[in-house]
Amino acid sequence: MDDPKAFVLGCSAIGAGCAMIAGLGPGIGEGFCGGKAVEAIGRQPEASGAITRTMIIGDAIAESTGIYSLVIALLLMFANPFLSKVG
Amino acid sequence: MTKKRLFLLVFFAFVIVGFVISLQLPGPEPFGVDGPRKSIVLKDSSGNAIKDPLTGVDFIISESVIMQIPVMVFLIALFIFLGHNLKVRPESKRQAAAEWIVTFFRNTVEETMGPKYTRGMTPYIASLFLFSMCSSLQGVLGLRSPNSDLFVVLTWGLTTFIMVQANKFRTGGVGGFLKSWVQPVPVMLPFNLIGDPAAAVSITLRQFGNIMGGCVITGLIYFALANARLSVGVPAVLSLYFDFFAAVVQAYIFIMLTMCYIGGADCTPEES
Repeated sequence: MDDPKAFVLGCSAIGAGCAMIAGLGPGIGEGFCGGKAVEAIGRQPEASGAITRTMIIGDAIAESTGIYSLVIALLLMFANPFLSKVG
Repeated sequence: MTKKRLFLLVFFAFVIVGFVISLQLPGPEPFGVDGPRKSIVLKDSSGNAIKDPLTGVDFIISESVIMQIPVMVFLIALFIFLGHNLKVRPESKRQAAAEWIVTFFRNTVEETMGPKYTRGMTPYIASLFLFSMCSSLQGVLGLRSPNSDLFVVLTWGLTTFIMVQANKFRTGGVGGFLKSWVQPVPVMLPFNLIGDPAAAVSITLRQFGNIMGGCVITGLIYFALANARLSVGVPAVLSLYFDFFAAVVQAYIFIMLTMCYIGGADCTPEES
């Protein structure tokens, strides 16, 4: 326990894992989005092109929070800003 | 039937030969992801690195900048090939393809931004889409995609931000530009001040996170396959999703959001 670097590295790994819990939200949201799109296509098959396009854009926007957490996790794993603080 | 059987035979022969070869190779190195390598450090005549006078950082031409050059050369060559010797009545498949690409982008811009912007915005949107898609697709070739460097994508995000502000100026004049910050009520000023840069950061991070995440995940899968001594001959199906699908969809979303932001920043005074 006298190596501060090991402690920081371990905590960063836990932090990266915790950050990815945010993957839950976009998963649920995109599933909802896809389900509604299927319903809409079932009701109105001739508009499937426009519906699919809108769905993909909606998915991408719903994905934002998940992507932010991914960026944080990548940062903690590969470009750790805390490591330089313990020297 | 025999052709199919021959194909399967050759395929499995490849897999078996690859497996045998991979048993002979030395084990893989530990997995790691590093940023874009510093390719060229600019030096002055005495051999010292040239420093930026403002920040004191070395001037570096990084790998991402160099990896964009093949994309540009490819796109320029492709469109010179597609665009030369056009006729009023299309005769060749080449011209049909060129017309399909142009019509697709023109329709996309017209549907999203309206006919007012079609002529002006189509070239920018089309080149942004194709450049973004081809850069991301470089990951398929095993190269490092320029889009997995944050600063490449941040450049496009900042371009969008500047174009949004420019469109406010162009359509509304100084008055409309200033007024746009206090829409719909003056209390919203701080939120508007945060909102515009946040939109640019958001589209940047979306593209960067998707491509970088795909890069890390495919890297991990290849690393795992290599560890299992399957580095040759096992098709990586996931590459189809993370490299092809993500590349095309992210490029499409980037242009869609760019068009929405720029089109939404229209401050043309309402006629009453």
